[in-house]
This record gives sequence, structure tokens and C-alpha cells, in this order.
Amino acid sequence: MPTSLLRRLLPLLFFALLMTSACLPKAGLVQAPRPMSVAVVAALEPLDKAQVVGVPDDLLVRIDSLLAARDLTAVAVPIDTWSSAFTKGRTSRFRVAHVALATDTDLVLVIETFARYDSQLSGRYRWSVRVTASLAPGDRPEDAVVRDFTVPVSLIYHHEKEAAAVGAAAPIIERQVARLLDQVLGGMSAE
Amino acid sequence: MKPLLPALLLLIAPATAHAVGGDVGGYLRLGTRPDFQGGDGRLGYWNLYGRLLNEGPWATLDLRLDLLEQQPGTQAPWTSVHMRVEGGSLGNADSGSGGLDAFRISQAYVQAGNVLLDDVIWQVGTLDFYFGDLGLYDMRPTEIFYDTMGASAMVDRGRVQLLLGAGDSGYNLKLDEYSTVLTGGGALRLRLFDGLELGIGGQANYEPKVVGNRFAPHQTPDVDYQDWLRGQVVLRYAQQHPNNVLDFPNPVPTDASSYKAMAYLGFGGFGPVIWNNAFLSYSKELPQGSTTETYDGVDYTIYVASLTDQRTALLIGDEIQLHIVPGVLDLVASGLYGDHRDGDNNIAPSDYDRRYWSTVTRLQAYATQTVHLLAETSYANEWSRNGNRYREHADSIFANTGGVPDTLGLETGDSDTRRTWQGKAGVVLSPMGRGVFTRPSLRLLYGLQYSNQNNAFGNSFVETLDQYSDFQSVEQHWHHVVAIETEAWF
Repeated sequence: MPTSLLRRLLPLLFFALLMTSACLPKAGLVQAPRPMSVAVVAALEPLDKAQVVGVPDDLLVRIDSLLAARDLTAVAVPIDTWSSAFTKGRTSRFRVAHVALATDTDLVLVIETFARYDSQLSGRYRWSVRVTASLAPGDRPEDAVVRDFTVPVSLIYHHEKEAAAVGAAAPIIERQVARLLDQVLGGMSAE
Repeated sequence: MKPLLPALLLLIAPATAHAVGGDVGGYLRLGTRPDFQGGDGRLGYWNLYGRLLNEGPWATLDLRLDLLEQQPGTQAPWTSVHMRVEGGSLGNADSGSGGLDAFRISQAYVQAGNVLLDDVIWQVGTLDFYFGDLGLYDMRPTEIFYDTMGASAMVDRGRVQLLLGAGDSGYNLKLDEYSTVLTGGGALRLRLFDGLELGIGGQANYEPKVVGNRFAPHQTPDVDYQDWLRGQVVLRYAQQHPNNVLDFPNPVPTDASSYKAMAYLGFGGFGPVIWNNAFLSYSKELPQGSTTETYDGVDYTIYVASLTDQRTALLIGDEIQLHIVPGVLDLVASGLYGDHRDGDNNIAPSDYDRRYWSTVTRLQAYATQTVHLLAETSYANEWSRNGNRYREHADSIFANTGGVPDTLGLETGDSDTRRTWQGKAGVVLSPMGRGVFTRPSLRLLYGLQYSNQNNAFGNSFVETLDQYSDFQSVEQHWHHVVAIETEAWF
């Protein structure tokens, strides 16, 4: 084959390689071994109020999508059944146990968030959102698998407070909870 | 047994879920802007034309260590140590090559809350505060205490934010010619209801008269302003007192003061309006200290407090952020007006005697969640109150008013007005999703500028007549820049 022809074909070959790589199999989501229900509670601990409250809806929507993609059905837990208990008991172990006892689901997912304002940084208001996500079997809350992480958030306006910080952290929280689900579901599938 | 489990866990578990910790945040802006027209990689002179493509690299590290962490839902005391290191040089991005001499510890302070008074945050150290930011300009017209080391108390609860502070701004304002500059001030922001905020505040500085302190404010008697500008104060004195130059008058001690008053209006959260910030400030600067002239091999220090004590600045800025088509197209528009006056100077162009206004508009369209298209345009008008300041042509170095050379003149150009238009467009990769101010962003941009000033960008073209003999000046009013850059808060 003449060299000039090879040179002309090279870009085409490269393009074809790119196109075919798009068809390579991707790593799939870890699926639940069977359809399962999950009691979901996502709480925000305000700094200046005693009462623990719920997180912005956007985060709940994201979590519901995560669960649905893994053959899990989210069961919403009314806030009035956990807010008061979460205010009194501020440990993750207690909260997971409380939700497990208040519901009758295969799994319990508790996401606790705490947003803390740091400083004005280059024109933004920097916050740190600390998150503890716990996933446990509904009948064995003491076996919860826990994931702790902190999300840096830069908000633009002063009136954006803790709920806005948690909302801005939602994409990162979603990704971390997805990993937690995959870890736990992967272990269940292997059993 | 099972129903007792939560109660049991409550008893055996620690009282709080949060341990002592800390955090590192920061800001990073860097990129490359190859320039084939002799520029230094910035589209225009400064961010009056929008920060985009007009600012250089910047890096900030913001450190916080919680010695006693805040506990949600309690009034327990807490305390934290903060430190910020920042500077404008990064390896391969500028002539400083990332040298640490371009960096400084710009902020350091300790905060303590719920001590002595509930909900009061005490702060000792640097006290920098601002109501908000004009994001498109990277300007903060309502910033106070930037220069202050001292103590403050802040309450920021519900709909009220109140700050009171006091300290000393001498080291920031006077550097190695330190003299105490007592500073006091505060700010109050009220959120009348969700969607409407008002704020007022200010800062006052006082530099006392201290006899014998050569860095305290002084004025050398009988100095003519024009002689001082030309560096001929001692020469004039020698001409008038040919046999008594060494009796050049001693400076007279005095005191000095400066201030800044500011106001803020914020509203939004209705219709397409995300938020609108409007800022106003009026400030008077602290007088300069001294300058040095050499005559007949002897250095003379000229103290100029009363020649520089009438410098004021009025700044008005506004920025609005809109969802034009939610999820598809956003817009941010900003405007800035500045009026700087120097009551002592009526003869020479300077930064202290000018008026300018500017608008910047940015559109960002979302091709996908993470791939955005950006377009920005700006127009600015800068006017020098004391005559010609800008060179419009390649041969302007020979011309002043009316094209007539005036080597003894105080003007520095052949026009008193600079008009600048910029347009920028490009692709933005935004892994965190939609939003004009969502970061990090990775940008490929093209920028175009037209200015009536010749070579209106940082450059290495001729500046003096001897350079003109070796390097011919060029005339160009259009400037193009291509940029690959990134910006992140973290």
C-alpha cells in the first residue's frame, strides 16, 4: 500500500476507532439481587436551630433516581415521624435504628447533613457540607455501612444559607450515595 | 428487646457526631493566552471591561482548623483558626514563574462563638468584609476592613447581620513607613423579607499627629503642587534661596483621616430574576506620606499630607442574574460607574482624577449539562478630568494638545478619553453542571477588543524616545486573544 494512501486513511482509521470505542460495554450499575424497598430519610442539622429538618427536594429526587436505577423502591418516611427523635438523638447509629423500627422495609438509608459557613473567598461564600450516609438492612440496623465525607460549596449570595449549601452539594452527595449502594448491593449479590 | 435498641444506642453513643476537624478551601485561576500582537496575554488593561480575559493567574489557599467545633442545635462555645495564602503568579503562566515572593498571608484570624454572648462571633486578626461581589468585574465596591488588623463582633442570625469592628490599618496602608492608623466601623444588613435585602456600613480611619515620628503625617511648608509633580521642589527653593539650600524647611506635623461609606440593595427570586446586587460607596483616601528629591547630590524628603488629602471616589455598581430560558440560556448583566476626584490636583492627569462607566453582559447557553456556550460583550468609557492621558496614534509620543509637542507639559497623551469595546465567545466545559458561575469551568475562548487608544493592552512596545529610535512603534486598535483557561473554587 503506498505511503500516501496510508496517510490519507489514518484520520479515517482514527475516527472509526473512536466511533467503535463508543460501542464498548460500559461498567453496569450494581443491581439489587431482587426488588427491594428502602426507607429513605435525609436530614439537615441547622446550626442555629435545635430542630433537625429535611433537606431540599432536589436531593431527594436524585436519591430516588439512584434507587430506582438499582431496582430499589424508595419509601418516603414522613418528617414528623423522625424530626423530633433526630433532634434528641444525634448519633447515626441511633437514627438508623429509629428509622428501621419505624418502618418495615428491606433496607434503611439515612443521610445526615450539616452545613457550616467558612468564609468569604474571592467573592463567594464558602461552605463545607459534612455528610454521613448510612445504609442498613431493615431488620439489622446495627449492621449499617457508613460513608462520611465533606463537600466544599461556594455560594454566590449571602442569603443562601444551609439548605442552599446542601442543595449545591447534591451532585456530590448523589455520587457518594451511589457508591455506598453499589458497595452494599454488590456484597448482597455475592452472598 | 428490639424496641429498646434506639434508647440503648442513645445511652452508649457519644453526645455528638462531629469530631474536631478542619478544612482547606481555595481558588485557582490560570491559563494561557498566546498573543501575536505583542501583548502580554491580556485582552485589555483592566477588569473595567469584564474580568474575563483581562485578569492574570491567581491562586488562594484558605485554611481552617476547628479547635472547638460548632455543634448544631447547641449554644456551646466554639473556636477556629483561619489563614489565607494568596498570590498572582503560577508556573508557566506569567513572568513570575510561580515564585513564592508573589504570595502573601493576606488573612489570618481566630474566631470564637457563643463566648460571653450567645450567637456573637468574635474575631481577632484580619477583618475583611464585603456585602457582595460584582462577579463579572471581580470588584467589591462595598468592602471594608480589608486593610485592618483588629477585633470584631458579628451577629448573623435570621434576617439580621451586624458587624462592628476596630483596629489598626497602619501596616497595610503605610507598609514599611508604618504609623498608627486607628480604624473603626461596621456594617448592617437586613433581610426585610425573602427576596429583599438592604445594607449600610462604613469605615473611618484616623492617623494621629505624632511629633518626632518621621512616618506620621507631615507637610513640608510652601510646596507648590506643580513643582512637586515635576520633582522640582528643592530646585525651586534653591533658586529662591541660592545661599541657603541647606535651610530647606522642616516638615510640620499634622494629623490625617479617611473614610468609606457604603450601601447595598439586593433583591430577586421572582420571575426570571435570580438575584440583583446594587452597591454604592463613597470614600476619601488617606494622604500620602512623603517623596524624595535629590539636589546637588543630597536627598531631600518632601512631606505631602496637605497636597494629597482631597482624594475621593464614588463607585456605583449593579449586577443582575437572569434565567432567560430556564435550563437553556442564562444572562448576567453588570454596570459600573466611578468618579474619582483630587481636589488638590487641577493640572495633571491621574488615576485620582477620572470618571468612567462600563457595562458587561454575559450570555451562557447550555448545549448539554456539562458543555456550555459563552458570549460576553462590554463597553467602557474612561475620561481624564485633567486633560489628555491616552495615546491614540503610533506617533502620539510627539504630540499633546492639538498635536503640538510639549516636552514640559504634564499631559501624557493626545486624548482625554479612552473608549473600549470587547467581545468574547467560546466553549465552556462545566463538569458540575449548568450555571454562569458554576465552577470549575474549563474554557476555550476567543476575545476581540477595539479601543481608540493605540495598543490598549499590556505590551512591550516603545515607551520612550530612545526606544523609538530602535523599535518603530506600530498602530493597532484591534486586539485578538485566544485563551485556554480554567477557574475553580474548591
